[in-house]
Amino acid sequence: MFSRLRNLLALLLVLSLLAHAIPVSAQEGNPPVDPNGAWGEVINPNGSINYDNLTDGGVVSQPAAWMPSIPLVGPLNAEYRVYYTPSGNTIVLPTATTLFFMAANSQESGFDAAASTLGTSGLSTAEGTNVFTGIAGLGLFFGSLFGNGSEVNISLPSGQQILSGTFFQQVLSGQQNLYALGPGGLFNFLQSLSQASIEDSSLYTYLLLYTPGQCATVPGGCTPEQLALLATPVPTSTPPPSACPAPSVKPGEISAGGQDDWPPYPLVVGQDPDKNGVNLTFNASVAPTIYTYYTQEPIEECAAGPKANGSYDCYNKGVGGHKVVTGYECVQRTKTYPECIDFATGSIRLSDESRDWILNELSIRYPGAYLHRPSFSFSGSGCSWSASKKNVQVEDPGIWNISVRGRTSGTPVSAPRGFNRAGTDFKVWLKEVVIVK
Amino acid sequence: MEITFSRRTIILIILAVALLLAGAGGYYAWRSGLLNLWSGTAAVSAAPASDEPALTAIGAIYSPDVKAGRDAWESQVCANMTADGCQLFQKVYASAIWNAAQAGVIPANLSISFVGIAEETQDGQQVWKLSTSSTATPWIYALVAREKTTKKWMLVRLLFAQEEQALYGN
Repeated sequence: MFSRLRNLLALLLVLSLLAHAIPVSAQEGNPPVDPNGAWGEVINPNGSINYDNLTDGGVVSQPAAWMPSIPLVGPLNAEYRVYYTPSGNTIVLPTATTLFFMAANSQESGFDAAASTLGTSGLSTAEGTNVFTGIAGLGLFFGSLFGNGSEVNISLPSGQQILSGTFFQQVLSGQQNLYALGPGGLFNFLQSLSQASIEDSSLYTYLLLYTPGQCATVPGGCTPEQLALLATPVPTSTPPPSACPAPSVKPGEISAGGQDDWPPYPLVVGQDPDKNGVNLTFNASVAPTIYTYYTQEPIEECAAGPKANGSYDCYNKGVGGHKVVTGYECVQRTKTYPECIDFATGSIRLSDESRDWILNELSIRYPGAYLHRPSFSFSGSGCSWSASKKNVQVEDPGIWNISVRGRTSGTPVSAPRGFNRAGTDFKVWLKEVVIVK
Repeated sequence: MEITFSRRTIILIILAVALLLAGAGGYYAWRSGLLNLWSGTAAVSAAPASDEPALTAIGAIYSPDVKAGRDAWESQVCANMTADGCQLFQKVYASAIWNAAQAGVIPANLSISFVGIAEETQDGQQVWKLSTSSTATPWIYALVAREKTTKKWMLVRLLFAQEEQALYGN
């Protein structure tokens, strides 16, 4: 009952956030839309959707092979709201349920093929902006729907604990299986999504823009205007690339180590009149993780003559013309995700050789010699962890090994990682008196 | 009067009584499901009654009366679902199933029977494995929840084909 109440509260939170976005989509914090770009026909300078400039294509509901399949029936219907711009572009707004499975099957669904995308919600991304773009931002969005905030831990039936935002990010990037939620968890998630997908009052959170040349494969198909546009010869028609390279994740390098700082020749505490012991420092940090992805961007030229509606939207050597897409290019983009140290433990341990020496050689000269305290450990955490331990009272002579082990926090695109690094060994000395006859 | 029994008669009487008791015990064990517990198939023995609401809902899902209309069909299905399950069914499942029924995709005269409990979730829900008369899709799975007052099992939702594959390898 509590999980249902939690989901309801999360949904109300999201609805209240989205209420500001409908019909006004992009909020004040969004990056401004280039009025001369493709979105200039869709978004007003104040960030709202310019519905007066768009032709409503209605709600399109159609079976899609990439949606989940009901046994003996077939796949669920994908649902979108479709609009057309004066220049012939198609704007597709999937419902929340459709958007999730579109993003999770980005190749098959045509999500990757969109010439451009624009988030319309006021939800925050890791970058702190008010627009979520790409799969990374969508993971946080769906996580906030499911887990009462993307930073809330959810328990999977397998026993794994994971932040809801991280889980859905991993689902969308193919690192995690959605069905790991279990039948009950998936029910809760679908219920949250469906609450935001109610027919005419659908909460559309994402806009996908397709150029006229793509209309045959876009929900709603081609309008007569788009077909007329396509019938006019295009100067240099270059087919779009079949697919951009797959996104990649380069986890940040983990650095960790430790050393003794002072004194240069530490003595065992029994022979150390000042009880200096040994001063130690430990450190652990992890470099940011780099997420590289590609977007398909249209290459435009200014062709002679007006647009289908008789207006001009560009000039070539002073002569009015209309923009045409002559091809597409894959543009590489990167996002950087900082990563912290979830926990780290710095340890010093008397080496096996020294233990053997104390117990088997030293004990001949000093009968009864034994290991007093052959190991110490110190724990901590932080985004860049370092710790100093002064006057550690080592009682056993010999060579001491330093090590630092722990686990990183993970990022929205990478899982937490364990590590174990060796530091610089140091020696603790024992003064011996030898009587020479 | 003195009645005497021979040793052979006494042994026969004891054997007859023992057989009678064994038969009665066996019959009781069969009726109560104890035999299944003993043989390690307790999950199958927990078969719900054929009029369990969840089974009725599943049957209704796969046999929409196109002539009676979609609203009547949805009401018939929802009558045997949980409230949340009904909402999800109407918003997510119903369109695809109704369209498939109109297109004649769903096999006619489909029969569905309970096979066993595939999983019990931590919150007391169950996933039922069901057999169908379709050779193409011999198994389906359904998430069910026990209604608090009637103690009857209500349908929450049907599992997706991809989900069945991921969770149970079907």
